[in-house]
Amino acid sequence: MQKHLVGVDVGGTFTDVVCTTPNGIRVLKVPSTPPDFHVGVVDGIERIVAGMNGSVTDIDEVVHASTAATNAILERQGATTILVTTRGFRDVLEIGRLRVPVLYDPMWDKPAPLVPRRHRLEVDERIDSSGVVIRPLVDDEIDSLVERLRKLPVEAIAICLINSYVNPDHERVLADRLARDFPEAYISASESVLPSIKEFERTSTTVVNAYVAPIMDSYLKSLQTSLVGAGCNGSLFVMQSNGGMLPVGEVIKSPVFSIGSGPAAGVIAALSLATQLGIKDAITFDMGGTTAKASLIEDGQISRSSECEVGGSVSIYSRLIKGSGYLIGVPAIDLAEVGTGGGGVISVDEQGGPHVGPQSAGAIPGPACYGNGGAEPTITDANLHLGYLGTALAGGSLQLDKSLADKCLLERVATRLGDTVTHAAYGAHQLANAGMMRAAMAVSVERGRDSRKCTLIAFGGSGPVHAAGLAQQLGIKRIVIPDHPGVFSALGLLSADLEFHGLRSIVRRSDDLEWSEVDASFADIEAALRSSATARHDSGLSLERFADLRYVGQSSSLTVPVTMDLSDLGSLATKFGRAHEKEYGYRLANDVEVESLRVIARVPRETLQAVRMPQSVPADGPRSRKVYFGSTFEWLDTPVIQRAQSPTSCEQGPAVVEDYDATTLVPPSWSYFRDEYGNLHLRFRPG
Amino acid sequence: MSRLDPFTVELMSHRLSAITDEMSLRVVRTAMSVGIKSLMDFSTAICNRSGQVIVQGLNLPLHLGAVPDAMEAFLREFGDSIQPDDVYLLNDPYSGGMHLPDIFVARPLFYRNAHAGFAVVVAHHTDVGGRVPGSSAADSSEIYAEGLRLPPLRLDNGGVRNDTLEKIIRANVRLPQILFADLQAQVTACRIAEERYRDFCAEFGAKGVERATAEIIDNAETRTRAAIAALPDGVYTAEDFVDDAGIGRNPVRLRVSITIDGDKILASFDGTDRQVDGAINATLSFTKSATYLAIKSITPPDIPCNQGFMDAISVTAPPGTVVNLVPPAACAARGVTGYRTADVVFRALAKVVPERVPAAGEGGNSGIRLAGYTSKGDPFFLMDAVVGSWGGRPGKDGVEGIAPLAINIANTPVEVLEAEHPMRVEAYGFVPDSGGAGEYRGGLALKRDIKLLEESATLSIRSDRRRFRPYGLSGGQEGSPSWNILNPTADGGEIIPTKYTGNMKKGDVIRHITAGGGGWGDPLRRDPDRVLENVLDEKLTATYVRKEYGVIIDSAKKTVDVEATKILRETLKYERSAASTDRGEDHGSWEE
Repeated sequence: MQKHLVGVDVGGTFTDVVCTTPNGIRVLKVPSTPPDFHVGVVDGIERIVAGMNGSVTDIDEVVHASTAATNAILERQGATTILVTTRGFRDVLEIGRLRVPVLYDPMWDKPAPLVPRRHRLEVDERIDSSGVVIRPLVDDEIDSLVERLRKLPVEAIAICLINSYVNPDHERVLADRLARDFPEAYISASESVLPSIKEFERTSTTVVNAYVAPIMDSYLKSLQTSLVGAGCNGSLFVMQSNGGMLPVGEVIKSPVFSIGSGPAAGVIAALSLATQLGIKDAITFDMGGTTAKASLIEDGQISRSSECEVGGSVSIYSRLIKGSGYLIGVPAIDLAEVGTGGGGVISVDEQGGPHVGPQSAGAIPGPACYGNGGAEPTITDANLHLGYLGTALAGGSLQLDKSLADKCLLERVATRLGDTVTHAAYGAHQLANAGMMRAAMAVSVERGRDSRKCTLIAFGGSGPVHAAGLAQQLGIKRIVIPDHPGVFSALGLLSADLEFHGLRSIVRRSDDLEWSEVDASFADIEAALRSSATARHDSGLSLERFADLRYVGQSSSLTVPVTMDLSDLGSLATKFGRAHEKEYGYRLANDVEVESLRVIARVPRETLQAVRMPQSVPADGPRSRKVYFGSTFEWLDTPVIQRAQSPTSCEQGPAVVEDYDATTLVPPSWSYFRDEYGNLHLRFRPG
Repeated sequence: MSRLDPFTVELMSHRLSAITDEMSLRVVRTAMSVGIKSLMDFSTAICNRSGQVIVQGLNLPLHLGAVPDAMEAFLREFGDSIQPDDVYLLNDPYSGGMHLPDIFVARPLFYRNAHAGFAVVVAHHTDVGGRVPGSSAADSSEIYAEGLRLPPLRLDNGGVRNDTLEKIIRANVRLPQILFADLQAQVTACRIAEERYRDFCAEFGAKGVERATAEIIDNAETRTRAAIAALPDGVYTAEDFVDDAGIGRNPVRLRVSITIDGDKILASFDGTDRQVDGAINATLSFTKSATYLAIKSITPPDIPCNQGFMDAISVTAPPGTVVNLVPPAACAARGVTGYRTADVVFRALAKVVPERVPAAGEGGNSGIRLAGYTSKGDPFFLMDAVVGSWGGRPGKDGVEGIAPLAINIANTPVEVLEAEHPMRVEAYGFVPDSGGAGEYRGGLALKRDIKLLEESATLSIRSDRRRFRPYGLSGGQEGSPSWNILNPTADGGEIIPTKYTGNMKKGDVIRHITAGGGGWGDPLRRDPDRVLENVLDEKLTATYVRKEYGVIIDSAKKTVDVEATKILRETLKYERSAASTDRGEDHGSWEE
């Protein structure tokens, strides 16, 4: 029997709730309730369940994604954190990797470290790169550290010692002792968060983990208490940035893994949809109010990156060069971001050159047409002028004022260009698409994929209105716009598997290593994961092994699946060679080095039954409005329909399909139809 | 001809940038060497038919002005015989190149059988032969010692590989497999660019593309000229020095006069020292790049770095100087001259727009090399770049723990260094009290201690900024000098020269300390609370801030003694104004 599942995606402005029961699926957008976000979550859950004639007590599972940890970092509201490091390496966290993510800007500021120098303490100890203790960590040294800590405000302690990835003993001794002496503090040792080589990446990840943990802990506890108070006894899970989910009790061990989980959920939802539709290669495109995000689905698999940044800037350059935010070395879904959302500001430079973004009108005041005092014309204002958006959004709960949009576009853009408002608005819409095109292209080209052969899966509040224009610039000819595009990410929460990730660093040449050692290490990791997983989820646990390999002398590694048929290092090296050739176009005769071993323990989620959409029943009479499609077509009378009314066999555009939470634009050179599950399919088919 | 719709021009400019993005990403993906893959020591560009740069992709700042000279050389050689599927290359600094490791690859772009432009990728190769592995020795005295010289040559002739050339290259470099993988990455990126450029032309029409690209270049020039016109007219002169050229101990003087005349800007390097015997001589294209970098940093950031931007700026230097070499000068290690060129141009610009120019940073990366054989007979080689601080800025402290504007380089992780070399890093961190004092202080210097664990190794060091320290601006102090110390102890150790080759034995420790960034503004005006924060963070000591900043910290209470500070600052202000009238204003100059 299908369970009662609830997914909740908490953003700064809105909380998206989605619920599936045997009776169907329902979505809801409610305002978020900062700073007590759990209040809005419980309210949203109660309302959605009530709307389905159900009861909160029926809920089996709640899956949750939130921006709480990200916000704690962006607003510098995290715990007062102390960092304990090896003598001589107090500044590793602040020095970082040196590189600057923007060029030619002498006024650029590096993000201030989450732990200032005065809170970074050194201990006298040293382990060498092969794990041998060079200087022991003596009791007197620990006593003196405790003394120093007693003089400081300690809410959280991060411990990261040089070479602890090969020998965690000193970190463990410290963590045990500090846990005893500082029972109120959250203690995080790097060997348990990210036991892998590179001291800055490991330190930064451990610090972020410690910094957000107390806030996440109290937030998740409040949420759980309120859910129980409301009568919900279902299990609470938290989405992870790697696309899996974890039971709430596990999350608090390493909350750093749940940072950025909302956007990850969108990609999981897109993957689930792609699988259902038999699409192998896709670019996902999630455009909201402030940013747009693109990700690649390749051969039915999501793309992952080995590290990301919290609060990083959004540009193509910063994909290649980190340094604009707080680095976390967590394997996460790979997303490229550009700073163009519906709120992207349209401006004209001193020489009459038009630009879109990177400034955004944000949620407040928002676009001029929201009537909240926004004075800058935005992409949403342009879309309204062009007829792409109607004046009533969200089922009429949000009224847009077209005269404000027009006035602002005229004064700030058209007049300065000596142009018409319409032409300027159309130009701005296309420029926004051009910026997003660069991000979408980057995710595919970086992996050697030709974007033109991909399907575009577009969602988010502004994704469907830009999808066709973006696709055209990318040379993409097929688009899918899922049902409920505005809350699609929350749907992904209901598709995520339960996932436990384990990692062990090795750093040994393959010719200097026995397969039995590798096998034993895998078995150790698996035993640890089983003990986490089997508390409540012992059925259907599957284990996948991976190895991070590189050629000797290379600085970065590739993750290769270690399938059960592999039983010697030679075949593993061969497999790595093939993967390397696919990724980089060549292989080497060099020796192969095993950097680390990974295991993912997975309890697969029951596949969500796709819900068939009822046959179309035109609810009201035919509507249409004038919509502008560039100088070839100019203003066309364009039918405006509800998704449920859209044709089930292919029809030529133009058309505007309005959903509760988003609007899909079908230009004249595109055809479209709706499948039985409510997905809109667009095909490029010029006249 | 009527102007194009500005939206269309901007849209087309985005589309061209997408092509150079793709070129850059392809290079990163398919190149083999760490220099290209991780340090991204390469640049991409699309040029029009006459070789003018329309758009540059992700690039190394000191490659900014590299492409025009290379294109000029290619056109001079092949202008009359350009055919589809040609690929050209060069690296010779005496015919369009910058130094031998930088190989330029260009491909003509054809649309409907008509020549429509060029795609260009320049990349720094690991080794191009010569007397020293890596082809980057600082102590060569002639170009002939530095490696294989490639004047403009056809690598592919109408799609057919030039086997003779390939064989010559393979026979002359140390790692031909890596060189050709990297070269192929450049060639592939240019081929992809042609495919994309064809789509682009098909969409907008060849005429439309030609008009738009002309406008994109014009717009950049117009905007650059408008930015220059907003600067006060005048002639602004500055000097700075390289400590020495590696051969001999004489300092090398760099002198620039910047003339701003309406919407024109001219940077003249008259008065700069003659070229030297060491390999720090630069091509004029490199000097232009460093000059563009400084000007780019003070003009609106969204002006694209295309031909229009470059055309608005004139750079001249007498031939035979260290900033405009003539044969047979060596140039492999001209990086230090480029850093100092950028420093001296910034110093002159500080007189034009003091509110936009930072004080000098550490002066570019120091290079520490350790090479030898393990007890098993395996070779080891460490090339460690140590770098890290910006000078104080108008309204902001200098960033510390950062790459220079001129070269966006990363450090080597301590754990990676130790795992791959028979060495141990004993310390890596900031040096307290080292940034130049200022209302906005210079970034702290960095210290790196490396211990040798094998029997012996050759140590070679290229560093600078010991004698001529990073300058301060608007009353800020100079940054602290750089140091190389063998076996440092609490009270000393053996101080070794800035440029050095010698030996280390097992257990020896080499300490490199970078120069600290210069300060900006009068230190006595620094907010005492900010001084206190620095003291609490142990970035500055209480003794030091008392002397330099006139701030008295009550260490027990962790507060500023406000009254005592006020009195001390008045006293210091008087003493310093008396001293400065004796000292003269330009404390950065040097007399024999």
